[in-house]
Formats: sequence, structure tokens, C-alpha cells
Amino acid sequence: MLKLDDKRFIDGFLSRLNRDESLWLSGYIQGIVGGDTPTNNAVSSNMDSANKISVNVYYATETGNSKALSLDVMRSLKAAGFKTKSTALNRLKPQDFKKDRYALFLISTHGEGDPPEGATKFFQLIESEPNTLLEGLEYSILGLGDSSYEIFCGAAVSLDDQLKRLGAKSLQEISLLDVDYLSDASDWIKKVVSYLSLVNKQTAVTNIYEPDQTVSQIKSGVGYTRLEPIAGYIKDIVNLSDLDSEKDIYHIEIAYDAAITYTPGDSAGIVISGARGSNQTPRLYSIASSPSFHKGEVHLTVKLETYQKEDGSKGYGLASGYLADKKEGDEIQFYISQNLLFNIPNDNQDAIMIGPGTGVAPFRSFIYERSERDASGRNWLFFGDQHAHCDFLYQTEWQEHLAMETLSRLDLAFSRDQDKKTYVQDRLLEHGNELMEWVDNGAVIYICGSKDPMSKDVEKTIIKIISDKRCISMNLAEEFLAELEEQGRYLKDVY
Amino acid sequence: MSNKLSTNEGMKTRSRGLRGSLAKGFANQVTGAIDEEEQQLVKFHGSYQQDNRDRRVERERKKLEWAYSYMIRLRIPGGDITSDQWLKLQESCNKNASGTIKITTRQTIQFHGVVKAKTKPTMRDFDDLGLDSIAACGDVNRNVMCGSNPALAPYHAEVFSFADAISLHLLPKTNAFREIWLDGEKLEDDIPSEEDELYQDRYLPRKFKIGIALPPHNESDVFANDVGLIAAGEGDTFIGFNVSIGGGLGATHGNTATYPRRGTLIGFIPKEKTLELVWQIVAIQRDFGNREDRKLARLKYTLDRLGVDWFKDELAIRCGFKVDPIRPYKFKYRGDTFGWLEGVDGKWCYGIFIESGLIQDLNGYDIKSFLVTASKTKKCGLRFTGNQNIMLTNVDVSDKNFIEKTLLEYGIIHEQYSDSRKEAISCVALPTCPLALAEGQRYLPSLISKIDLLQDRHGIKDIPITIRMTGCPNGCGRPYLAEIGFIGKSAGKYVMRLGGDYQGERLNQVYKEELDEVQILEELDILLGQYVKKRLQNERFGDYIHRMHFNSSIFEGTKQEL
Repeated sequence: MLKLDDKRFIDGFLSRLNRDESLWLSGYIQGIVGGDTPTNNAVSSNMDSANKISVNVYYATETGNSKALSLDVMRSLKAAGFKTKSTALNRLKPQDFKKDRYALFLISTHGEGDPPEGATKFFQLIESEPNTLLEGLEYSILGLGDSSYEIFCGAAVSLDDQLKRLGAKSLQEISLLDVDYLSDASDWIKKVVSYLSLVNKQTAVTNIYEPDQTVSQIKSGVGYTRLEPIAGYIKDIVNLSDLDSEKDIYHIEIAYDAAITYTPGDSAGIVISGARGSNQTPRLYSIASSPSFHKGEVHLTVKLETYQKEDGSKGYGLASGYLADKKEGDEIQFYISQNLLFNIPNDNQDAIMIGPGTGVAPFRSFIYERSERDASGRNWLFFGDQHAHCDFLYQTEWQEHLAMETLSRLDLAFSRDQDKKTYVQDRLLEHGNELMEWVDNGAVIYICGSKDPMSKDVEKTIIKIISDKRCISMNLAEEFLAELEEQGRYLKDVY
Repeated sequence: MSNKLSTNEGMKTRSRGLRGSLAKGFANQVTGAIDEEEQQLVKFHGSYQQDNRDRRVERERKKLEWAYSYMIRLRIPGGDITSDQWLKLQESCNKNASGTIKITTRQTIQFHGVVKAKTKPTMRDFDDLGLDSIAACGDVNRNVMCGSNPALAPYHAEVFSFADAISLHLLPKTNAFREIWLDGEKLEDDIPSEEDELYQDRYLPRKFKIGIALPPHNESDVFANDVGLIAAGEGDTFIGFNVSIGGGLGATHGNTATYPRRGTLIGFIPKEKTLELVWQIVAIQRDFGNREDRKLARLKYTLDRLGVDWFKDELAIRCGFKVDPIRPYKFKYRGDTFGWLEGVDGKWCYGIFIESGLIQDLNGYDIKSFLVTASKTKKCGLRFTGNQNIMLTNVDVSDKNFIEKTLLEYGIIHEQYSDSRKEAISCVALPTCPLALAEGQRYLPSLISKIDLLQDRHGIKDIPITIRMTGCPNGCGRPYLAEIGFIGKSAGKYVMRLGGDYQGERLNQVYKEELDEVQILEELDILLGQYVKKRLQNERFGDYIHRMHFNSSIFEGTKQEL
């Protein structure tokens, strides 16, 4: 009944859920089926569901937090007797809300007030819609952001402005939450659900959302936000770049005793002690270590950022300069920043990992983790940098993984080792056939590293490979990739 | 002796004409190294895999493999190139290698520090200049040497042409070089190797060296070569060569079966028959050389095992002619002549001293910059000498002033150096040579400064002494034929060999084992003091030591303890 790929995906997804999450999901699916096909009586066993009022939840997420939060919002809505589903804004158009009466938005902000990567198109579209498009819609927005950035919750605020312009009515004032959002989030949910219950004369709200670690995927408290960092110490620091390199890339091992956990794909935020004010924008680094293999340690792969000061002298990035100066034994304040959208694949899934430069960091974590777990899925790494002899990050470790067959393939692109500059996407193109074989076999494609131009060039190349190998138009190939993304089989952590 | 062929033998026969898996090995980006068999095979293409041993610990810490790179040695018979070739070679070395070209002790040059990705571009640069590195290393005939100085004889040019002729005559017949380095074609496994009458599919049991000398200058150390050819003339006419066979200097510490050997003169050969004779000598070594133990595989061991008489008989049968009796000759020196030399056709040459053969701008002696400037004017050619120096060739009388002015401008003033320094030779050794046990070219210059002071104190700074240093007993810098030879034993310690003669006809002998610098200088201080007091008139230091300290004559090479 299901396509093999879909079945594989669903099995994989289900294997990651705990009992409570599975129970919730079964109700959720029933809700969707019942809600979207009201004429199909055979599956619509819950007679009440047809009469329930729909309140849909939409999210735009960069690291998965607002998506995870949407699950909690839905739990509260369902408990209050509403019918609900949650959808990413990524592939929606503003017209899609015309069928909604109520819509709740959970909007993360990325960088300097920008919407998350995937929702960029939606935010562009909404600006050109006519003023009356969404008259009749009632909405509320929960913005997630970080007040240390100059533009706080910029994406949420801009959506609020646009929805107002389109004639939608705010049912509850926009709420903007800082990094320690979990407690404030429950206030917003409480207010919104109470209001909706009141105007719709639903049963009294009995189950108000409270942050609950056992159900929610979101971790909170000490060690998980920049407001409550934990202390570790530098166990080792080494400049990986050798003579002739134009870069200085540091491998930094932080050891800690605190009872915090992270999963491969998460980032670590560095809190710079002694810096002016406490409101410094935190710098997040993808964690390069495996929680199973490198127990009690967080490894970072840090490129020392440099710039020219006004007086012509060389300046260093605040966070990277701070880290590069650290010595063995120094204390360091850090926290785990979850990335729920950049997860290690299931053990039996193949992984295609594209991580040039410091983008290779999470894949070091993935490969050690999968090696430690004896995962049966194959690992294919694409790495690139300027020169093989001085910029080959973690070279000897990859050689060992290849020898142990915990790394199945390693394809390399050293841009300046030949006259014609060669990049990872060139290697992808060379191996297009094998790449499609892996994808057809259920592989997850990961990209980590610079957003522009690397991740964009890589994405274009992947679309071209799909188009060529499947003999379909570029548009359809783009659709194909978007479907992979929806299935959680095309994941990016780009910056 | 076991009957099992050495591992290198299988590598050669399996290689399909020196192809092996080199193309694949050099395309693999995961490592800067190549596998063991490829490392042996790439030597035949003129290259050694090396790594910067000074940086191993640091690289390991950086999670990087050792700093592997390739030394690539050119094949330049007689060491002659044009100024245009030099310019492009220096450019290529700056772009693809360490930037410092090294003149070898066999009249050619080599690049160091060529990383894997730069090997093909380097080879392509060579090819664009009509040069190559085929057979510059490996178990084949290596670069053919020939006395560089055109003033030695009116027939110098004719003798000189033999270097190129012999090199071509003994070149492996394979297209592998072009396929692997130049065309980038995918190599199919079933390509048969080309017919090669001399090397067949076995090549030689070990390296093979040929040097030509024009008396009285023994620049190429003919007696250190497997085949040494000593040019002989009648009046202004070149007639042929006295032939020495079985010279070879390599030995192994602690292996008493190995020894350096001075070549044996077997007779005279008219010039017309030289190519055939040399070819047959190589063929005999191919058929009778030891293929079980590489340490005993040079021609010198074949000769001592089977006997010189046997060898001469076998050679006569194969050639269909016999060698004639030896013609008289006289060697007087080995070091180069610096400054102006009149050549032929009214052209001039200029000998330039280059310490350790390293083309670098150092301490105001800016030889690298000078050569670029001089080459750009196209007013000279270049010739590398057997003493790791350079001779500017083909200079018009009218350009002599310009050359002199430019030399001064770049601080190229050889008079500032002692004669002993100008005759010294050192090999590369640390940090790149995998065989090195001690320093070579990085250390000898400072040691010579101290020996200079000793010579000065004893009032003999005008008597040159040949001093040669190698980082291992392999003998690349021919230390066994020096008046003072230093052979690396361990870090900072050398075997000191004394008693070689000035012109290179007698091997030196072990004087003391494992001396550090302080001990070396103490010993030399005493010996030089005694030499000044007790030497015969015009007696050289090496001859004096030999007379006073070593009873057994080893004028003719024989087995001896290292």
C-alpha cells in the first residue's frame, strides 16, 4: 500500500518515538484522516470529530524548536476539544489560509531578523498579496528569538504586520519569546486556548500545557540556554591547519561533568566570559564529537575568523578569537543548543554527508556515533577545502574509519590543488549514478557548512543529478528533493 | 643465500612496463602517500616518496598524516640545459615544489616537496621543456655524467656528446611515463609492455651508474661508477675510453657483506665501439647480478663473485671483440675551477660555487635571483657539475663584463670561501631522505666553518682538503672517496673515514666510529697539527694519513670493513 521509501521512512520515524509520542501520534493521524475526509465514514469513527472546530498550527523553524513546540500546542488544543494539525510554512502560500478560521503561528527568527531558511519563499510571497486576502482569519503569533541579536524576533513581527495588512484579526497579541522561552510559551498557549474555548463555548480547559521533559523533545534549564550555561574545561586544543594554509581551524575538546546530554547534530553555544555586557550574540558551533564515543566531552571545529580593522591591523572574530586563545585546562562556559532538524539517521539508513570546511564537524559526530552503535547504514562523506596537504581536517581519523569500514566512501575536492577549481558539488556530479542508487535505497542527504554559495551550489547540483538520472524536468526534480526534505531525508545545517 | 627473489623483482615484472598502479595511486586523494609497491616503482620515473621527518610529531597532533611529498629528479645527461629551460624550471619549482632546486652529485637537479597533486603539473612542465625524469632513479641506468669543463680538451664537445648518446641508448623502452604523467589516459590492465631488449621485463637487479671523465679532471669520480669512462686522445683527436667497471660506494652499517668498491680498469675501447660495450656490460649485470639480496646486487658484487677475468671473457664473447690495453692517463684533481674558463669557438664559461648545490638566496649570496636575472638575458647556458656547482656556458666575449657586473650585484663572490668548502659535497639527508641517520647538507656548512678555523690555525688554509658528508652509508655524496669522509651513524654522530686521495683513485678507511662534533674537531686538530710537521713535500692530507695510519694498500678496491 505504501511505497517502499515511505514505508522505510515511517518505520524509521516511528522507531525514534517514545511511548507517549507514539500514542499522541496515533490520535494525531486519526484527527487528520477524520478531518480531511469527512465523507469517508469508514475511517471517521469518531462522530464528534466532524463537529469539532479546527485550529491549525503553522511553524517556521530553523533548528526544530518551533516544530517541537507545535506538538505541545496541539496537545493543549486537542485536550480542549479542538481539531488541529500542524504544518510547516515552507511549501505553503498565503492563499492556503483562506480556508482557515483560526491559525496559530510559531515563528523562529534566524540571523539578523530573517525567517528560517525554508520559509523564505512564504515570507516573500506574502508581501505581494492584496490587502483583503485573509479577511475573516483570526490568528496569533508566538515568536521565538534571541534578544542578543539586534533585531529580536524580526520574522515573527514582520508576519504579524503582513497578516494585519491582509485583513486578518489578531485573537491574542503577538508574544515574543527569548531563549528561555519554555515558561513563557505556556502562558501564551494558556491565553490562546482559553480565548478559543471561551468564544467557541468548548468544554473548560482542563489540560493546560506545562513544559514536560518526558513528553516534549525540547530540553530546558541548566546547560541548554545561553542564560544558564555550564562550566567545562579545555581538555585539548590544536590548530588543525598546517603550514601553507590560509586558515586557522582549531579542534577544541571540552570536558564537562554536568549531567547534560546532546545528540549528534546539536550545536554548542559558547558564552564569552569577560566580554562587554552579558548580551553578546552567542556563537553556535556544530558539535564534532559523538556523545557515545567521546563520553563527557564536546568537541568543536572552530575557524578563526579574521578581518581588517580600520587602522589596517588584523582583528579576530569575538567567539573564534576567544576560543583560539584558550589553553589546555582553561575553564569555558557553554550550553547545548538542540538542532531537532539535523538528526543522525536511523542505524539502518545510509547517510550521504556533504560537509566541506568546518561543515564536516557534525559528520565527525555522526560517523563516530554510528561506528559506536555498529549501525548497519553506510556512510558516504564529501569533504573539501583548499589544499589536501594542509587543510584536510581530521585526515587521519577518516583514514582509520575507511580502514575500519565505518566510513564507506570519502570523496574529496581540494579547490586549489589544480588549475581548475574543484568543489564538492563537482564530486557529487561525477558520482551521480551512485548517489541516486543510495537515495533510492533510502539514504538521507545532509549538507553542513556555508549557506552561500556552498549549500546553494550543492543543492542545484543535487537537483541536476535527480533531473538527469530520473529523466525528469528540473522543476520535478526540485519537487522530488522537496519531498525528500519533508520526509526528513534531506537535511541542512548551513550558516 | 636464499633462492627467493627479492620483493622488488616481482614488482618489476608485474609492472607492465613500469606502469603498475601508479596512475591510481597518484589519483587517490585520501592520502598524500602511495603504497609500498608504487613507492618502489615510481623511482623508475625519477621520483622518491619522502616525508618531512621534522614535522611528523606535529602533523600527527594535527590529525594529519605525515607531510608526504615527492622528490623528482631530472634526467640531464652531462647536466647541460639552456637559460630558457632554467627559467621555466625555477618557475615550476616555485609553483609546485619547495622553491629551492637542488643540484645533485650526478650533474642533474631535483625538486623537493612536490605534493601529490603537483606531481603531474611538474612532469608536464618538464615535458614542455623537452626534459624528463625517466630513469633518474630506479634499477636502470641513471643520469650519465661527463666532465663539464670545455677547456680540458679540444675534443671536449665530442666526449660530452657521449653522455646523451649513452643515456638514450640505455633508456627503458616504455610509454608508461607519457601515459601516467602527461596524457592522463586511463590505463587498461591488459596493455602489454613494449619490447625492451636490454631491460626485458626484469630491469636491472639494482641501480646502475655511468660517468665519463676527461683527465686530468676526475669530476665525475669515475671509479665510483658501475662503468667509468676515461676519455683518451691522440693530440687534438679523441680516440676512445679507458673503461673502469664495478665501482660503487654504498654499504650498510653492520652488514659486513657490503662494502664500497673502487672501479677496476679493464682496458681501452675505441669510441665507435663504446655504446655496444656499455650495453653489453649492462646486459651481463642484468643476467648475472644478484636478484635475491638487494644489498648485494650492484655490479661490484657480481664482479667480485664471478671474477674480473670471467667478466672480461663474457664481455668479449657477447661483444665479439676484446678491449685493448689501457692507455696512460693522469688524474690530478676533482674539484671545479671557478671564474672564467675559455671554451671552444671563442665562447667563455664561468664556474660558480654553490654550497651543497642548493639554489637559494642565502646570506647575501643570492644565487637563485642571479640565475633568474642571467637566464632572462639569454646570454648564457647552464651546466651542472659533478661537484654540485654550476657553470655558465656559451658566453660571448662581449657579454663577459655584463656577467661579471651581475655576479657582483648578487653577491656571487666565490673568493670569500675556503678551497675546502668549495670542494665539499653533502647529500640531502634530513629532514626528507628516508634513509638518513644524521644531518647532511643542513649541517656540513657549519662544520666546515670550524674546520676552516683549524686549517687556518695550522697555517694550511691554502691546501684544499676534500670533505664529503652523507647522512647514511648509502654513499650519494661519495664520502668513501674523500680525504675526510663523514658518514651518518646516528643523530649528531658520524663515522670519520680518512686517507682517500685528492684525485679520487683511492678509497678512504674508517678512522673512528661515531664521533660527535667536538670529537671530530679534536681528532682533526691533532691530525692536522701532525700533518703540518711530518708531511712530505707537496703531500696532500689524505696521502699523509694513508701513509702514516693505514698499512694495507687499497688503491685497487677490495672488500673492507666499513
